Amino acid sequence: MARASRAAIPASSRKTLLNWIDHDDGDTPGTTQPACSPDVQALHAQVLLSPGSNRHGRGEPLQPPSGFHLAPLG
Amino acid sequence: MFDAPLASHHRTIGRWVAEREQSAQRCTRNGARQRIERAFDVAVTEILGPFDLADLRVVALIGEDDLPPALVVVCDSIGQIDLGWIEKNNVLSNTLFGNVAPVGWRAAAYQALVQSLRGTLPYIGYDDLVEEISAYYWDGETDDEGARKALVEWHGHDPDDLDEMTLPSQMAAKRPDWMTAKAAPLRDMPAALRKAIARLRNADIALRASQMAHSAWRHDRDEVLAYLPEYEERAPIPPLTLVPMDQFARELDDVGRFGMEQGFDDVIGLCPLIEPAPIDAWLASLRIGAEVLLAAQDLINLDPANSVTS
Repeated sequence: MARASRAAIPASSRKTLLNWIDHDDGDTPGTTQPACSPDVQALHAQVLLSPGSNRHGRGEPLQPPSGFHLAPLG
Repeated sequence: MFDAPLASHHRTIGRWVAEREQSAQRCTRNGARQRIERAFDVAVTEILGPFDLADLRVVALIGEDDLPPALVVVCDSIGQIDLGWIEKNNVLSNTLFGNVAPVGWRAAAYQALVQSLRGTLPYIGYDDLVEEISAYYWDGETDDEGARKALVEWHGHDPDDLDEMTLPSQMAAKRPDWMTAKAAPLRDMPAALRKAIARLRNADIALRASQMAHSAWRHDRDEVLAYLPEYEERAPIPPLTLVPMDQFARELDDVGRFGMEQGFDDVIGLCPLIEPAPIDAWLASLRIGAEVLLAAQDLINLDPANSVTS
């Protein structure tokens, strides 16, 4: 049986002209983020982790990779 | 799909559209934007559509910082306004294009145009051209003696070698007869020409009398620069001219060069839209000015010497 599919971006809402003019705070379904798959959500969570708690245990300041010979700024 | 809440100019003009339509019909946000733009566009095109004397365009500005939205009338045409039968060449036109009207009629029509179009079209007249050329070459002088002195003392020309330089009297002598002749009295004109000139003058009087606060033709340079700061870089010269290019191409090129490079001062009018936005008053004033332009166009298209109804 096919899974019920859900549109990633819901259809735009419809209002009267005056409603769009006077009561549009911009927070409508048309501007919400599309739903992500669990894999992508996990990736986002990894990217957003604080620098000190990543899996390599490295915090600020970022260390340059070895063999990277740029002079320090300033 | 490009989507974002309606901007300030859409909201302001949108209230005017909603009031006119009185419709409960629902639409998407994008549909709302299109309805507003279309309704306003139809209203403006109905007024500006019927003439082609010059290309005028209306732009709704969003207004940034603390400025309210504004409506701007811009002139997109550049160069000499086509004067039709008024500037018809006397030598060839008798055989090629029909009869040439008497010079007194042409002078009367030209003077009516020069005097009546100032409020609606941005143009350089002959006096403006002389003033500009005088400032460029003659250090503000307007007689030959003063101009000669300026050319020698300010520009370092050899006093015995001024033949190449135009002097004020030479410039004045280049004017065709319809620019210098005495206008014919109204009673000596065909009825159609008399009516066309009277209509143009009356339309101009009506525009001057209206002087509305929310006029489409109101021009305040400081206000224009507040909305369009890039106009500071433009030449402070209007894009059109009523001076005939055939006789004054060199002078017009000189004066217009800066404008051709940097853009002309082509804003005719700017009206800030403070709530409640005076869109109806603005459209009414646009219509009064458009009547001047329509009357001018009809006068130029009249050609009384070849008109059956004269």
